[in-house]
Amino acid sequence: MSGERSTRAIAWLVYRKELRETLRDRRTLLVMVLLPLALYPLVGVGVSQWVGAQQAAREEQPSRIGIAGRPWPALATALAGKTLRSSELARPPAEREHALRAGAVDAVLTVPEGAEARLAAEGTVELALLYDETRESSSLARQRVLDALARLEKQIRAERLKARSLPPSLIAPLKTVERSTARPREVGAHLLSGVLPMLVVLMVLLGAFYPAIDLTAGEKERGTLETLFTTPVPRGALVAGKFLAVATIATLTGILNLGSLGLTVGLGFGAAFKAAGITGALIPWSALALTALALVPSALFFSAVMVAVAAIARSFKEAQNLLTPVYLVCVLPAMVAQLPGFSLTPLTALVPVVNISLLARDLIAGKAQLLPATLALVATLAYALVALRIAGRIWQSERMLFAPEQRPGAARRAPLRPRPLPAEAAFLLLLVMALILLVGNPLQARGLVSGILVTEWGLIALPVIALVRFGRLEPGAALGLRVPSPRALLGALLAGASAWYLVGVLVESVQQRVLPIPRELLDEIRKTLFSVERPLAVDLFALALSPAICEELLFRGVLLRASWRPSAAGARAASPLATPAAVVLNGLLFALFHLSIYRLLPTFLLGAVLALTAMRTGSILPAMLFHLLNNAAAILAGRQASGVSLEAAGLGSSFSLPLAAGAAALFATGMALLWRSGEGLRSGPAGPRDP
Amino acid sequence: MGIVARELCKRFDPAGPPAVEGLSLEVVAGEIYGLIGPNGAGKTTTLRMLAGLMQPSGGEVWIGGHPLASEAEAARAALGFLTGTTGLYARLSVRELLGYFGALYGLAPAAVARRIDELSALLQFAPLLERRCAALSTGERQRVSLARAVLHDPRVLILDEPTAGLDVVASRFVADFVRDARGRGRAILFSTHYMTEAELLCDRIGLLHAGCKIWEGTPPALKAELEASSLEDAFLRLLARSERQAATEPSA
Repeated sequence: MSGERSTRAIAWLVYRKELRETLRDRRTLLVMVLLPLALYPLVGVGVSQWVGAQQAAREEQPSRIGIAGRPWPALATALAGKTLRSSELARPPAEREHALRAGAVDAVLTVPEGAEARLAAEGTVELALLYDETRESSSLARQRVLDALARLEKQIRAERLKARSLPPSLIAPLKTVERSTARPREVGAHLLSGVLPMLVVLMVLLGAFYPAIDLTAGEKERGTLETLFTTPVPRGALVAGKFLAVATIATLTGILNLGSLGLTVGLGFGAAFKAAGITGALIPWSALALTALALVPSALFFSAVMVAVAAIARSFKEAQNLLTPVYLVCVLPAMVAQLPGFSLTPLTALVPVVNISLLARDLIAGKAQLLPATLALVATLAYALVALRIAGRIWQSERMLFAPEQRPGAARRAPLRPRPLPAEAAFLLLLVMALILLVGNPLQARGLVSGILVTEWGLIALPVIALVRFGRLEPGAALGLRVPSPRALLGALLAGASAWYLVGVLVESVQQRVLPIPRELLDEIRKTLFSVERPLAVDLFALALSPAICEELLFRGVLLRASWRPSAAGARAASPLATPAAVVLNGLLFALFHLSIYRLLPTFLLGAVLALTAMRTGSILPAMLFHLLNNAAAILAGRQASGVSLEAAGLGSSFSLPLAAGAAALFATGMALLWRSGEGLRSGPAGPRDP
Repeated sequence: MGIVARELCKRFDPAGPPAVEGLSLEVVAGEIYGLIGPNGAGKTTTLRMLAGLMQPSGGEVWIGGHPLASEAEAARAALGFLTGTTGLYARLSVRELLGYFGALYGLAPAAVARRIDELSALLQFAPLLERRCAALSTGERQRVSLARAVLHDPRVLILDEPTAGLDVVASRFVADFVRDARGRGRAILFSTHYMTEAELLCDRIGLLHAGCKIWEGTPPALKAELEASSLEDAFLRLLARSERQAATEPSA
């Protein structure tokens, strides 16, 4: 029967059915049609009207100028009018600023004693203008005062020249007439090209999100996929039809959003741009049409990725959990592409998502070039094909329909997972590093201790907790939160208290020869990290306890569990790496995470030893204790002596052989205890305790 | 030309116990074969392997004379499959749903329309044809599902607990439909929890326990062998005997 029918005909049949059904889904329609057609114009016009009204109100509101000193008549006249209200501010100098801060006046102009006489003697009068740059009304007042003073100055200058019968050109040897060659609409397009592509890429992704889930995991959950798979049609045709339906919805969503945004911006924000002297159509419709065309390959790419990922899930909710990180991974490059300094080159044209965002930006700004544009489109299509092939493979597998653990009569709700996926862990690490770069580091520059606390708890621990909570992970197993044996704790105590010294010796003997730490950096570390001005308890909490808990949750919790295959779990475990490789990887990631080439070696060693500790003891708690003691010892030593780094503080030139031998002995004993304390993490959520 | 399964085997976990092991059975045209067993016995796994939804770890299957491994599409075309949890496309009307499946089975539009008329009259859902599937009651859904399964007039029917969750009236409706199909020479494999239903409906039954077929024959023969008054009684005795054997085997 079906032998004579082509796969294409069946895919077309599936496509039409899926499209029809999806377009009857309220949620899809909401995202695809209602959001762009109603929300943007409403919000856009509303915002623009509000901004316009605010601006008009501000412009009508006269600025209140407090005048300290006695203004001469011409100045008093210049500072009176529709937009300026001057009043005498008879307060001592210290209180003038207070009046400005309290909002009693918008600016304070101080007129020196004898100003009028000095002017009459053809001297220069120095006027002091006090204003608050952070207050818009104050900035406006400043501008208005400066304008008034400029007019007054011009008048005085003209009078002085006239008194000497000199021409005005004497003091105006140059006159510059400037004109921007950018057409008004290019300015507008330039402003919009920054935001629009990101919004549209985001909407294409959102357009693919729900249909991809509904047509795969949703169908599985509703029990219709099983029926569909008993029909005599190739699965390739089924996945092709579904993929095309998702891609169509995503494309339509993108185009509708683009059109609606373009229209909203053209109509709603037009007033705002007009006020700024920009007139005419902001984005030509031809540019919008080209951008819409460029969206098609990206819609194909996102749809293929989402259909592939959602097919792995067993339920709608699980698919949502899986696709949310995918969504974020796609959104981040789209945002990055909008940063200044990025442009569409043959190289960036090969980076997925970034290329389409940059291309859309160039198309809207009317600056797209043929070669990189073509390359970006071809590359995106190629990625879409690869993703589609992967989706096809997933659909062929039995796992697609029935997960191995899914037995007849099993509960519908997916159980908590014992371990995170490698992709989830990788995404988490990238997210945390991006957050630290963008938020944590600037905060630490403003205030070290508060910055570190926000970084550790808010930017490291919180995302880990969010992954466990929303990724439906079993916290005990996924993070290794288990009660360790007393032997494991004793081992961590000994090894943790001595490790910093040994790492320090190594840094001193190896690193200082290969890659010496600059003196200035050492001084900086000593000054900031080992400051005796802060209470010791604060330092221990911020620099020892917080990293010990938060960084361990990320590195020896999520990352280790996602990358390591315990021998007990055998070949069927999903995680790819055996113990040695996982230890090295964990150390490397920990080293890279610290973003300092001077700390690469110590942080790598520390990370690897901590990974080994977590593996051997079956718990993350000994690793936390180890990390805490290591940092605490370094802080204590660093406060007394000259620090080298957090891992190797207190050494400097004060190396002592007996001390090193003692530390080595303690460390070896500690590691031996850790090594013998258990077989390592179990694969199950509630594995047997260590013997 | 019904169902033939030889030495079927399924392992989900290479290290764990098999879900189904060494299972052979044959269902001929004009026969209703009941697959019975406690929860977790391997019924659904067996039916899924027979329907080509799961790849067997070992063994062979023929559906309507076609080997499932090498002629999957022809085998599926000869098969109608229905489960108790079968869902319908909620946002399609009954007619659209049946039209879609008819097209997937390769029927011409005119043939689909004719079959929809026949089946909606036979299964009494003609007034529901334009209604969205989301608006159907459980009994109505099962009637539409039955129509969906036999739309292409398959020679073989596999029904996995088709009466689960149905009331007496709806269950009787399904039973009548199955008998009617037998009358028209179809080979029917039927799994159920309800012993009375199996006793009334099935020509032969196969009893599954822990993935193995522990008994096969007619319901009267099973009752006679175990000197039981009802099939349910016989089933329980057989299970107890099988468990006793399993307990003594490892030490033997």
